Amino acid sequence: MKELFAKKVVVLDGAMGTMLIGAGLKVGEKPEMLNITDPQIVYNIHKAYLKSGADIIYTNTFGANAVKMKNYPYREVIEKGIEIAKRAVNDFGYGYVALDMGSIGELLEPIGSLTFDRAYEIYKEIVLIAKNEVDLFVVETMSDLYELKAAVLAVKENSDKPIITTMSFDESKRTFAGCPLLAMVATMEGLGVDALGVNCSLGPKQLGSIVDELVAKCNMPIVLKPNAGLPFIRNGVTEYDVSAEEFAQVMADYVKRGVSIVGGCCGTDDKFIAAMVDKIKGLKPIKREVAPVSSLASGTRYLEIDSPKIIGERINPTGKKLMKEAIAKKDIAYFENQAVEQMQAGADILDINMGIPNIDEAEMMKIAVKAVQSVTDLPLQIDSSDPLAVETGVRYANGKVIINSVNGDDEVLDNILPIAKKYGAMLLGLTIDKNGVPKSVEERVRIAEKIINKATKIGIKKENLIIDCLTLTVGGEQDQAIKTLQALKLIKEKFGVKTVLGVSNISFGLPSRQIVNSHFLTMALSFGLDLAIINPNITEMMQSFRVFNLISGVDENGKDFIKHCGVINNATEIVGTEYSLQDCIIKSLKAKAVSIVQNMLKNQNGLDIIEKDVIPALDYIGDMYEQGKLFLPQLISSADCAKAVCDTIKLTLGGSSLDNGTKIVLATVQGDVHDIGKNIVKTVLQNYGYNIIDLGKDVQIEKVVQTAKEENAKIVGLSALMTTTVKNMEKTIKALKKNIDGVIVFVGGAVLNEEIALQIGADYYSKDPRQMVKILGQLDI
Amino acid sequence: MYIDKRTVKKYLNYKGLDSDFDSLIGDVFLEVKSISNPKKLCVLSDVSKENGFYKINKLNLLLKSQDINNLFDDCESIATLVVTLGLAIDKKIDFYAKVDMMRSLVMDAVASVYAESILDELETEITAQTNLYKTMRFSPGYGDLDISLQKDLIEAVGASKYLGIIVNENYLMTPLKSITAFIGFSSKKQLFGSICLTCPQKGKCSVKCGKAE
Repeated sequence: MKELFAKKVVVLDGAMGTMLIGAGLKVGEKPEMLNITDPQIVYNIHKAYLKSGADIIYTNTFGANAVKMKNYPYREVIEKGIEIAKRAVNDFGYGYVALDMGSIGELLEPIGSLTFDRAYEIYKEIVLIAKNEVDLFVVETMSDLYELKAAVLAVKENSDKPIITTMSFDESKRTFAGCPLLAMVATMEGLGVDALGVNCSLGPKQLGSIVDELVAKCNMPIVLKPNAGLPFIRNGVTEYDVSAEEFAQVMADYVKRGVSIVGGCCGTDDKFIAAMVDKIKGLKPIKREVAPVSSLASGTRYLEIDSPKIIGERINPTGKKLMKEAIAKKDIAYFENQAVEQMQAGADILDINMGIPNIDEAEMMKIAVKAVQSVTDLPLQIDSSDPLAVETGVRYANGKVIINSVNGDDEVLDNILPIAKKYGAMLLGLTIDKNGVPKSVEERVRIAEKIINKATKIGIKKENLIIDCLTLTVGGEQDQAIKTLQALKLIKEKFGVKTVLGVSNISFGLPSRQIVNSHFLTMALSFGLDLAIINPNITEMMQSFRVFNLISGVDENGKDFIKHCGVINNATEIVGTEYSLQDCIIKSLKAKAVSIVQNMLKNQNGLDIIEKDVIPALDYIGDMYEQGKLFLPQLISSADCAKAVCDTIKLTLGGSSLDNGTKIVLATVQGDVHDIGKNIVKTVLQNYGYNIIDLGKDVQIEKVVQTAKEENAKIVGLSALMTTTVKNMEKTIKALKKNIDGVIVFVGGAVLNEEIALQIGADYYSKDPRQMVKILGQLDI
Repeated sequence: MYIDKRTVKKYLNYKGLDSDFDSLIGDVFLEVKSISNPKKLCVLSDVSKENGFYKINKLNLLLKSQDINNLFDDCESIATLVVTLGLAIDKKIDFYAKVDMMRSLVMDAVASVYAESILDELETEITAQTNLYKTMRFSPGYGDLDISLQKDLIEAVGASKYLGIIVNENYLMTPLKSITAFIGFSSKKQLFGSICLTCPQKGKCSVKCGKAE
């Protein structure tokens, strides 16, 4: 197939659905079922496309998977689909058969509840059916990059056939799920697909700027399979506004610009393909020179390392007591907070390291990656010395990541390089080997060269390599600091790779560390540092970074500098004598409340403050709410304020010893995706010291039971908004009651009331968080 | 575009007169507008009767509902409307639920009102095109129109392909801020009733009838 792609402009078929509707398929009928019920129609369409000049035809299996066709014989649909296409090719005497796969039809985590593993299994099932029968695999019309990654891995790990992937973009050059065009390119190139591009989406005329971007940045053969223009409905039939002639003309122009695999999607038929074949006659694939690009991506963000970037270092237990505790306790909320804080402070990339003794580091890495991805869309850096943890992190990360790290040691290189190659990650190499940290510039360059040679030898591109010349402490080995910087500059110039440094080690053991760190950062940046691993929450570090960007011209017109450093508010808030802590919570004056509690903590115990001030304030708000004198937004806003106060107190107590000892599992039931009500309840209960285990929305019955059991939680709160999901609530309650003695179930949600709650077996109905707090207070737990 | 702050407050059951809260709504609305990617779709179709129920001919959809029969009585065509704000809003509401619950709560309400305003625009467009008398909007799940129709509706109009809407097995749509609705059109002027007359929540609903306090 690779030879075919290199040799000629490859022609794909046109739409299947459009042709089927033309042949009498009714709206609402499953087109794939025709493989079984009327194979001749499908055969004729394949044949028509082959006759019109298509090299590759797609099987009629777009929606044939375990979810979309749950109630249909989808395996048979796939088998028959392949059989029909192969027969058409055999009879015609030429052509290739591509097994066509589309999206699963359910949303993946974090926004949906379909897991990455489950998505992988669904695609794998299809691949196993088809792998010996077809010439290649196609995944098309995709919107979610994570789902596409699952599909690509399923194909590559279970067959040796080529794979083409295409996604659908709108005018904003993003998919419905928000994936930018170049995030797709970076990720799919990395995963080693054979060709990639765009299908469906828009008409050919609207794809001009998308083609330009692909041609400029994509190193693989580019696929274009657009609709026949933009859809409109005429006389009940969806029609498109471009004729076969126009379509063919525009497509031929794109071929001249560098697209080399062309076909049609919705609205196109064999006439479009024939016209296009005619127009591209004699055209050969253009040899394109694509400038090497160092890039990263997440599901909804693309990041080019074309100027210095910040890697946030906070999700790493080294020297961080609270992070160690959080990892040991699998405290996902803590990881999420650290991620959000760093993102808000200006990090471009987040490092994740879960290395503490006596845990399953790979499993923890998976949990942390998913947690961080649920709150930020920054690209990740997977940081571990355990190859299994590295591979797990890279696999579950959406997009294209950095692996941190390899060094000059052969064993490490042999373990990690294949992972970097397989997933197309960027790779960070430390200039250190078995002999320890080198003392000279030359030695560092030598190790860097070794890493670069070994990596490029197995096919990792130079633009995906980052070298770390190692920051040593200037207090300990003063002459080494400048050698690190000299080596950095030399390696960058000599090999054309990117460079990285962990900055803060420079000042270890010295006073005024921030001053040393921030100036070292500026120096390193002027020596050409591309990536700085720092704590972005430290203002001075980000200031140095932004000033460097301002002066070096990276920050055009100083926009970023003015935005972040324009007003530096050094004045500490004056604590008004007119407000007490209670007043502040009641009036939701967050900043004031925090500064008051900071003062109080100087001579009062945190737990006393909670008991004497925070809880009474919350009770007061709750009473007012009950009496209709205050409303939900105020209740929540006070709860937010109380939370900030409790967080401040927590810091002085070291850990989460604010718990009142009662664990409560909260979940929005299976099938329901509205969890705002549950989130409100959670916020308020947490303030009262309840230890909340929040399972999120659309939670499987078994997961609720299992968690309550494992956590030994006697109280479970369930939420449902829709009448259709109350039945799942009832099932969940039954399963809980059956499996856990003495479990107490609270329910709430728009469709519930006291009566329904009792009918479905709940112990308590609470119409709002206030009521739940009151009932909980009366329970003997 | 302007956001109907009164409706936002109604959804939040907020009856205060706090100007800070008003400016929060305004601020959240700016954010909602900047991150949402509104898309809309409308199919206007002639209708026929099948087994005593209206059938939308172009979509091959049967509206098995006595309420529709009553409300859409004598209508000649039915418009099927779908709008969505896109997935980014859902993600943002989830995000704020973790870092700023208040903003999450307000954003949820603001986004609902914004989605409805997009639907209002679409309704105005299609009404202007038909130049006929129209009924109120009626959606799957209203009255006796089973919510399971949601799945067929989304598939029939191609809303998964053109708008990115997915319906789960309990007939809930994602993106969450998506709305579907039918509107009946007739050349004869008549008193179309209100859904509230037959609603099981009649008298208990604070949103529509404003009776339950």
